[in-house]
Amino acid sequence: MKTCDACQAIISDSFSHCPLCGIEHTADRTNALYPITKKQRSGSLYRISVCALWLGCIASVICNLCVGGVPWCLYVLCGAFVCYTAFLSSRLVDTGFIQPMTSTGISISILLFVVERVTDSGRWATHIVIPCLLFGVLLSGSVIYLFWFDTQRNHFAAPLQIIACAICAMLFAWLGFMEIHWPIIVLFAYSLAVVIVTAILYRKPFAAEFKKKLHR
Amino acid sequence: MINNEKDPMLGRALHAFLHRLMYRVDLPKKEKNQMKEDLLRLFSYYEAQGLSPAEIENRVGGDIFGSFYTRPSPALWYPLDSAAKIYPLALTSRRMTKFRVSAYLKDPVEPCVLQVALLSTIKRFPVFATNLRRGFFWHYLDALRCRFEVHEESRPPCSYLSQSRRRTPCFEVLYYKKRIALEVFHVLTDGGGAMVFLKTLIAEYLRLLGVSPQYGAGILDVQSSPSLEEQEDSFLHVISSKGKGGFMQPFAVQPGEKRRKDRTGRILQFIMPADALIRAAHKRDISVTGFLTACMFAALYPAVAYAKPNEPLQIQVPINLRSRYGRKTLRNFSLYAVLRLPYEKAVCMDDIFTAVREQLATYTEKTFLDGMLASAVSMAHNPILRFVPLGLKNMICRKIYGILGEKTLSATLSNIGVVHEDFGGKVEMFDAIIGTSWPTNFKCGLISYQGTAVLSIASSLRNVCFEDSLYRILEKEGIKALVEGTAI
Repeated sequence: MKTCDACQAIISDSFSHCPLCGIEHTADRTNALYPITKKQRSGSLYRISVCALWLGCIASVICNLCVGGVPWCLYVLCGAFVCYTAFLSSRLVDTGFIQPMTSTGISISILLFVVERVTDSGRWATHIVIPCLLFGVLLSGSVIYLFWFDTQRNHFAAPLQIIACAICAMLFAWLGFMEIHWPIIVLFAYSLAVVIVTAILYRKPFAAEFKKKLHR
Repeated sequence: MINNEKDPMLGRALHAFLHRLMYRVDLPKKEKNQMKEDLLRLFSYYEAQGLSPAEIENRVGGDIFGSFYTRPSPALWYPLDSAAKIYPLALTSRRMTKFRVSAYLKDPVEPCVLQVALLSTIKRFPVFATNLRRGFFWHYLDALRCRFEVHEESRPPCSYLSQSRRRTPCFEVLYYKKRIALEVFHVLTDGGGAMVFLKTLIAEYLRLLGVSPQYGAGILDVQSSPSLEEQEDSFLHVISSKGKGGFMQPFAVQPGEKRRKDRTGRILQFIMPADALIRAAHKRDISVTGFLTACMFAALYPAVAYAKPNEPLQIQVPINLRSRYGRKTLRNFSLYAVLRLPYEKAVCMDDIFTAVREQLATYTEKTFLDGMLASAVSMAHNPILRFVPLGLKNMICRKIYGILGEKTLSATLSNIGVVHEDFGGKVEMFDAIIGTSWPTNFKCGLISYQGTAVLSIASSLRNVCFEDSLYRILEKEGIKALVEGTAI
């Protein structure tokens, strides 16, 4: 230890400057209590990207309102949402591969739905494209979940969302609220198959994980 | 990679002993091989020290791992305790409620011994052997059976610990030269619980070095079974009234200077004689916690660049409830007292001490604590909040915590207390560091051991006005401290 000549504070030998008054000293780092560490990343690229997305959205809304006509700003807003979901958003706790993939698929589905409604060009998205997209997402997610069940056992919430959507869509179709098309039937059938296979192969561990999620 | 052929350096007896220890370990192949290498390194260390195979076997013990690594994958899980529920909701990449407790040994740390000590200690603390998961409505701790690893320090203290990977625990054991540090995410436990883990780990480490530990309330026997009391949410067991405690605080004065670019900030430590600190506190007829809180109020006064009208100085002081309610839990069990002082009154030391004395007396009364406890539990178990989906809770709490949580505090002081245990003369000092988060810019931790008190100040500001003022105030009160810390 040494005494700072300027402020008379008793300081460690490892400081090159007095920590209280800032006067320079000769440092001896032999007995330094802490290692010299690298500067951590500040995350500025992420903040710039999010700001750019926000600015783009606000600018497009203002331009669209000024110019009028087709509400194309909705495409920009949905596209920004897809970009954020796919590339920028990340869960800080318990991130797997299935949830981000499902979130991206759902956000793309929302974009397509908006495009379909705005352009009023039939129900190509609702009847064909979105069910096919969700089928692809559910296929990938369920294969990962079932093949690597030991490591993925608690990542079932995302596939469950798509299965719930498929069951609801089929119910609406049976009750006459929407037309039945083959992609919805395929999605529903595959959802049922996933549920049955999970119940046969992993009933007890799945039930245990479900209870944990519900805090029971 | 482990060589399947017998290591010629290793006696036949030791090889058989290694085989017995690893026989029923049920981990992924990579981790099992790493555990074997840990034991081989330990045996090589013992051989270099001149121990015979029989002495090595006796020292390590045939039951060092218990059944922790041999059980089938556990179905255990723990809901977060009432105090911990907020921490994962408020978690951001720049704000993680984390703290560190460290022990400074008299000799350099042996990493191979520390690694095996951790593998042995973790079985006694099942709540620590968990990782954080998302439920539908709340987060929870899922039991984790893996090879817990010690790391050499290479990052600033209380750096962000990623919780996104599957097999990441909520704590880290680090070593650097003569220091063993335990960094804990607050979802697991508070300072009291972390100190029990650290002391038990140190005792196990020293036992493996041949020093016999003295077990007691503060150091647990790693071969004994964990009790249910240690794993309970004690908040739910001690509610006795439906009183209300105040959680809503006004915004506090913030020293609003420029912050450092590195996220975790700077640590400065004042290492001082404990008896001088106690003498100074008794002279003012106040406890040590009260004394330091008053000094912090006085030190904050010159550190504030601009104070809005009606914004007081507010310092948060955690209160350990274990001794007051007779609970033995190793999870969170503390409440937070917020001591308040109008900014313009933080000039005269006598006034400050009087105000702090009165407020501490109020906050430590049982009726007040009962009311705060009841409020805390009712908030955490609110039936409406319970069924809000976790994603929505996360979004809202993150924003609210940033506005209402930290902005209501000017600083925090956490007095971990006195470490009474004797470690056979092998431990020199302890310290406690509370991780910084914006905008509460000063977080102070105090701990004492064998006549040495260490006050660690973590700050995210560029200038050192607060630390300098605090040093001068302590000097005026008759306490001359040595200043240590991270590189400026």
